[in-house]
Amino acid sequence: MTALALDRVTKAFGARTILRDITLEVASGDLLAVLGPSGSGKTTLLRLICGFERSGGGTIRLGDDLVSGPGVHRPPERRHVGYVAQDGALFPHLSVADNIAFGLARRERRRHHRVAELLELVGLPASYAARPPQELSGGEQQRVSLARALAPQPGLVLLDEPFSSLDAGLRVETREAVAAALRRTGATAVLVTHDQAEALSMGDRVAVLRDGVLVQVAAPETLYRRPADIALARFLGEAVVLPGEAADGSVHCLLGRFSLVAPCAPGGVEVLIRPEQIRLAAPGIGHPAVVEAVTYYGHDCSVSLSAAGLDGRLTALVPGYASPVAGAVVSLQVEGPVAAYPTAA
Amino acid sequence: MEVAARPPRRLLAAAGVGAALVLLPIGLTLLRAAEVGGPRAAHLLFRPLVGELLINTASLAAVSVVLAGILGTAIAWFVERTQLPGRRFWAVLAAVPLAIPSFTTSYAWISISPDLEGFAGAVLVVTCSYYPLVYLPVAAALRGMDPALEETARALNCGPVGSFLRVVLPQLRPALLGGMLLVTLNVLTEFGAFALLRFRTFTTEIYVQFRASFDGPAGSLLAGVLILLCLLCLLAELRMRGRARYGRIGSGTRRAATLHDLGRARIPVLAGFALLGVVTVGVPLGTVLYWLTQPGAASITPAEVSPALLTQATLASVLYGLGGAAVATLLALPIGFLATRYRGPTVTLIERTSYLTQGLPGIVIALALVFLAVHYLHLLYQSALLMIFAYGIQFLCLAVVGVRAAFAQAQTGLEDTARALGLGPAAVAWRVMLPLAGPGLGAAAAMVFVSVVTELTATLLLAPIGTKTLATQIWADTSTLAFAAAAPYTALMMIISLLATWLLARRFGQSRVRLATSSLA
Repeated sequence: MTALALDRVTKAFGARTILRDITLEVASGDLLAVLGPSGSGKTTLLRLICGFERSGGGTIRLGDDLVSGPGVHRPPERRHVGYVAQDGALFPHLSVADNIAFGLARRERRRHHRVAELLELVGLPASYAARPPQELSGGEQQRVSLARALAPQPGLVLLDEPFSSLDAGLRVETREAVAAALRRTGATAVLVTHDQAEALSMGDRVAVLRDGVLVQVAAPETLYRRPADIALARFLGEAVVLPGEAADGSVHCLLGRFSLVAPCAPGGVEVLIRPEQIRLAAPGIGHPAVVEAVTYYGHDCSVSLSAAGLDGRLTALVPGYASPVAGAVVSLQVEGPVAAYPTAA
Repeated sequence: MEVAARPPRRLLAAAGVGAALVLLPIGLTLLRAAEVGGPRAAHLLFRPLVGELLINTASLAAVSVVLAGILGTAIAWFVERTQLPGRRFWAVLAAVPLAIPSFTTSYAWISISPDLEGFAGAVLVVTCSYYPLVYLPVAAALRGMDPALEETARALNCGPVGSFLRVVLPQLRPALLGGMLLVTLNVLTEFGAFALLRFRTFTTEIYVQFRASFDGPAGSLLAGVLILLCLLCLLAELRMRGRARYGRIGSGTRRAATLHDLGRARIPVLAGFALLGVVTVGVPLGTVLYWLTQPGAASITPAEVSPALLTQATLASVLYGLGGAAVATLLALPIGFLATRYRGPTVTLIERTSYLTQGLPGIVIALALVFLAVHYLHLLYQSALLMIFAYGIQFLCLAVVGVRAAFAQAQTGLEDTARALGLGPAAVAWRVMLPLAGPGLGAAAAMVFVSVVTELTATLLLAPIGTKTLATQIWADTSTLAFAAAAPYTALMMIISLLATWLLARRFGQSRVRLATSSLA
């Protein structure tokens, strides 16, 4: 079943178009990550779904209900959505338990209905119920915020960059807790983020927004391996792009002949290779190259190479234990299929 | 900010002077009240008159505080959170009443209809003059509130009314209650407005007693009771301010609040704002303009104004204003410096003491100084110097707030950097502190100046015989119902006050002016 459906949704602030013809569906129980750089319109999209802003055109349906369309604008309190703001937006005058119970009916509020259960769901001890929100860490605040959003059992949970104000360690931990809680409740969710790793790791599907236009909606793996265009490929991660020639379901370029992840019309193409596909081997069993520089991260390292017959540099990502030294002569091998894009005539 | 452990002794002593001057009238008043003695005090206190004053004051405070609370909050909400057409204009207009001395508002209404004497008029004048004391802090609190909170409440099935009551209002509470206490404090300390309306409160009765018997025990007792009430109020306000501010949690970027569309309600709301402007600003200014065009003989009591008298009164007001500003700022300098650079119980004590003046009725300060001069410093009695010191004490709080803000702007890190670059202390003061803190110090002095020019009570009691200021002239003419004669003085006073406030607002923004005007009363 479809929990959320947008059809040609448009939004402009004055003369500036923020969103253009957004058409999107989220299946019940799925988590859709909306990924985009700042200014791409992703937060506006979320606010339109919540009902904080009025859309400029198109329709928004939650389940079977039309909540936004020509002459229709249902206010947020009647959309039955859960909302987790960027920094949690916990009510500072209420305890953790009162925050969680806020959206419930008065009688349930009094009894702190489901508070313990929800605290457990987001991985917080029951003793937190009586605490003021000021005493919680940023990550804990986000978990309470999610518990609060889930309490009235909304049809859809919307998360607006909920981890962006957390520091790296806390971010991963909170992300996992939130993902687990969403999965356990079977909630449908839309997560807005500018963090590629976050979108790819959390989303069942990822929608990429660029300058107010939806570029691609796909499963994370499809998106990463077969991005719609080269620019999107570069946005999603580091990319090595080489000129090549496609023919008979494979592609030929400087580094050799490779199979394609998706069929491509024969002719001149740009070949997309991910740095982690490139392996460094002993000289002689691949395309010769010289290591120019190494950036070491521990678990892996990024190697900058100059290959024979290539003007620019290319990058390979190799395991940290196999870190080469600068100046070493190596040969390059490419693992797995690659993507190719017809060269613009 | 780096805070040194122990302030130099000379600085402490200099700051102590201001604090001591504040404690002097309080101590003296309480001492004299205590001197009356048990049985006599009981006899003087438990009589119908005191009961009437208490009931008058309490009922006026209760009614006008509620009205000001509702009015102030509503205005703040409309101005900050709705698409009210021209909301920037209304935001400024709604704050203007603070720059109009309340006794001139009183004069305006009473000259329109003598029926406004008594309770109804007092409620009208107090509400019109002091609702900005609620409006300004509440508006600031609304501005500072994360709109995500309201949005989250909306997403949690709360309607616009529900989210206001359950999320917004609880967070406005400190600002709202603080503002309401300030209104109460002003009801307690206001004198001129009530005297003109012939509404009896503690201050007017103390004045009557003073005129009748100079320093009789009845007046001392009333002053003692009044000061205790004020201190109570002030204590409550301090606690309110100290109470955990519902600060924002978290540190994400904040978006501007979405403004509510008023829809069809726009017209009635606009009409309401127009009415507010007419009642609070239009009436005082319009009445003065009207009386300006009338010959002196037109009012109930004919009286004429000569240009010479007008010039003389203006000059006196300005000179006293300058004197008061100089004394208050000088007293405040060491206190403000101490408060920004050092910490500790003594520092807190001195700073807090200076804040007491915010709730000290001018009449009590003036009476204490009169008593002191008559009995111990006869040379000072009826001298301009004593009057200037009374102003200095009365407006010390105002000056300290301004000076503090000015010094806070000049961070200690800059001083240290300058010292490291080879400047001596004097060079640091001249080349770093003065350029940074100078404008702020000037603003502090200017705020005191405006307050002194519009001050009535202490001026009435302390002005040397024969000295006429704008305030005393307005008082003399209005209390004899010579409304036309009072108009030129009132117009001049309003011009000085509005102009100075406007200049301050332009130069330093609203927050500083709020501080200025909140102590104007």
